[in-house]
Amino acid sequence: MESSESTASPLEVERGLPTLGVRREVRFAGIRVAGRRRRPSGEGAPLQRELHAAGKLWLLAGILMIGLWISLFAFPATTDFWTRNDVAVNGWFVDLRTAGLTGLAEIIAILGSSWFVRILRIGTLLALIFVRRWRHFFAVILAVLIVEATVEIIGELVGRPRPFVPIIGNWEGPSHPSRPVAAFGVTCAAMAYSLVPQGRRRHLFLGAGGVLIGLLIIAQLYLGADHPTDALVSAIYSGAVTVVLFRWFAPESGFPVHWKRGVTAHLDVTGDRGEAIKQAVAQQLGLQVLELQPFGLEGSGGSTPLRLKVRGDPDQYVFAKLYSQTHLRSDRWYKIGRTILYGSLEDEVRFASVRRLVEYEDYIQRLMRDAGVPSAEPFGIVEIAPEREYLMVSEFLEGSEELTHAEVDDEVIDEALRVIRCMWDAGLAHRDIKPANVMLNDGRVVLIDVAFGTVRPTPWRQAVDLANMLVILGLRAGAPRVYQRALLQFAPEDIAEAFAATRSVTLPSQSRSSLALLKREEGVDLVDEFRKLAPSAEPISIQRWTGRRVRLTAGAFLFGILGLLIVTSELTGGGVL
Amino acid sequence: MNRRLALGVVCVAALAAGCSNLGLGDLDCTPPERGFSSRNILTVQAVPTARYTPCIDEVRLGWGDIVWNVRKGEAQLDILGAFSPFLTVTVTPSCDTTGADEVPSGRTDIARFENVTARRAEIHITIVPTGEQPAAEAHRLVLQLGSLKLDDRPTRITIDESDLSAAVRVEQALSAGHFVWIIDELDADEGTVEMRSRDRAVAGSRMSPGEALDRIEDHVPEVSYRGYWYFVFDGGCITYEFKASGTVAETIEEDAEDALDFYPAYRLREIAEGAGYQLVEEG
Repeated sequence: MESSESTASPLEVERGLPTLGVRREVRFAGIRVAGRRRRPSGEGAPLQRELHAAGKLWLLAGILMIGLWISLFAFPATTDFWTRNDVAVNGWFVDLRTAGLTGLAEIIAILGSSWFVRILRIGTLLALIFVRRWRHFFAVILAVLIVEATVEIIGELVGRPRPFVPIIGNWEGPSHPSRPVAAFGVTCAAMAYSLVPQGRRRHLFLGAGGVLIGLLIIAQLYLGADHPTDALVSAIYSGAVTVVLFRWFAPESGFPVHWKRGVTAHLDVTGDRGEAIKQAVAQQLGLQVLELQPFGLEGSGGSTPLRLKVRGDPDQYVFAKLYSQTHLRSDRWYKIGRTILYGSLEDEVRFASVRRLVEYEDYIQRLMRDAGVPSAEPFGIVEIAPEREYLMVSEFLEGSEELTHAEVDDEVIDEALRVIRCMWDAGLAHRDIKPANVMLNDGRVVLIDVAFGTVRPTPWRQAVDLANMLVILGLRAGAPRVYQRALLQFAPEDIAEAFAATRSVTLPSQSRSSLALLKREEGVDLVDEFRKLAPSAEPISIQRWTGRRVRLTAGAFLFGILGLLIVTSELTGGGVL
Repeated sequence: MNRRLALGVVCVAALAAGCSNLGLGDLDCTPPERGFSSRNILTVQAVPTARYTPCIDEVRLGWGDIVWNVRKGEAQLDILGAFSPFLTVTVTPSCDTTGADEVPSGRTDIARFENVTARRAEIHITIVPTGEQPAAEAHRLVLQLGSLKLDDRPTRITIDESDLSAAVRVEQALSAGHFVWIIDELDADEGTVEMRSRDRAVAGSRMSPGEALDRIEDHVPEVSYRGYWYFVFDGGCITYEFKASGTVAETIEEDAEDALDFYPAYRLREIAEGAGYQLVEEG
């Protein structure tokens, strides 16, 4: 690294106390680092929650509704006021009744019928399952559950009779809040926020939904089934719950509505989040981001990998991984799944927060480098939203290629195996040795994605790391040659143990598909060849039984049964949808 | 979302998916002149033509939750035992009393009908003799056993001497839930019986009557009460559907008579009208 004025190292530059108000500027490998800034107390984080003005308005409306409900209990006398005025309005609608209008009102009232709402909800959920937008899927279910549960509970607590006018419409249960209006309202709003892309189309959908809800309210009043306040409170409350829930639980910046199938849980890095990343990287690392784009998404399920172009002489790329609560949750589910399938094969303790996750990964990345494992240099952690989103920035290995695509000679084989030896000696394991993570950069073998590594791994995990590296090398150079070179650094028993530990599940999917291709095209079973070369060894069981595994398996079984019951209940028309 | 909160929401929703549980006084029989609950009004609104709606005077020992459902045209009370309702009370604008017998209601404006399909507090033994000598033995046994109580429950012994075949007589008695003693010539000579029941553990042959009674006592069937009571009145009908068994069934008839009553919906409508409100149907 060099400063703009001198050729000192970055640490030396950073240690110096610059004059107040003078922007520090250093250069590292051509990257310009300037103007780091501490966020003062009281200043918002780069990425704020997306409630916006409309969301705040809905939140306020929702709180007002709750206040109104509380007032009914605190001041029971006020119910007379509401009843008098409501019945007056209902009476006005009764005076308008004609055979034609009654027929029309009955048709409009179908909008709030349980079967019609059920069709809309199940259709919405099926569409979300089809495009695999699980966040929206659960947001819809949550919104429906919250609104339905509140309507039920408030209905029971208030126990309001139906309007004291001749009722000609269908009704069920207490009058307040209106069930049909709440059911249709929450369904319309949830459909808008989960199915319709943001922008004009959503505005149009919401507008049309609003008109239909208005018509439903008028029909309910005309038929004498609801009081005006029952219907209005339901419409406002269902809208408020849905808008606030979606903006909080499935914000557009993180979970945009689109109709591309099969998109994973990667975060959207355009819009507000993209700007927040640029601002945060500039303030916290002093790097001016000129361009950011997703990079290698298909190879990453645990984070959203990005390539950032930063200002320099010339401009350079850095690599970044964005972690959010979604990724934290994925990590937890992955570990629970592993525990159910295999027991405590290795450390399956979940991370308590996104901060802990990135702190751990940053530590492992630095530990690997300290141990001499060739890997990308970490530049630091950037806070995008406190406790919710963090970005880990590191060196971008430009010009490197996957080992399985490169020319592999004895030197490369030795070096790749030396990396494993180095980790063994340092008591580390990478845990994800696959073709995409072993690169050749300027003739040097470099490991990437070291952040999933672990300290003092189980012997089984170390053996799996070795087996996976041998498989990668074997795919290019053949098992006999790789085996011979491996004997220079590992005992034959080590290699035997590595392949005794190898199972289909221990091989990364990328390696598995390459092995299958090799077998199909050349009839070579690479793993079997290695096993024949190495001394014979008993297969190592990957099944471990613990109390936690039993509990989790029993829990998963019960949830499965519950899920089945819920689906059956929905299909037979008795569920909450 | 906080997982605990999410779980809470799911639990609340699961509870809400059921219907409202009544507390004492939610649907009580206090005359409307002395006040009324919103549930009384809603029940009256459900069947605005009905002169009476159901109400609860008191909750009896052994009654679990009381679940109340109301919708246009029907209001229903489910009185739950351990898992399922043993008594369902429904008010509707009309009801079908076909197959039910009219019994005195004790009220001039209410007609009462009953169709009780199973009343099994009593233990019933049917003796099926297969000839003349066995018939004589059967009569001797009935005289000998006299007025009998098994497990503190009245026990009735009858003899089926009809012209039907023994197999048919046995089948009829079994389908009515009776214990059956078959007496053939050999049994008549040796003073034994062959016992049959729907509970196969009770069955046995060449048993002395004493042994047979002991075995019945060890396998006394649960008390049950199944059937319908209908109360028909001007503009409506209240139906009691009984599906009781066990200890609840022993007193269900008395409990239903004493704990449930008829709420004068017509008086509530008059009071509402006096206040300028309507609880009536259009036209």
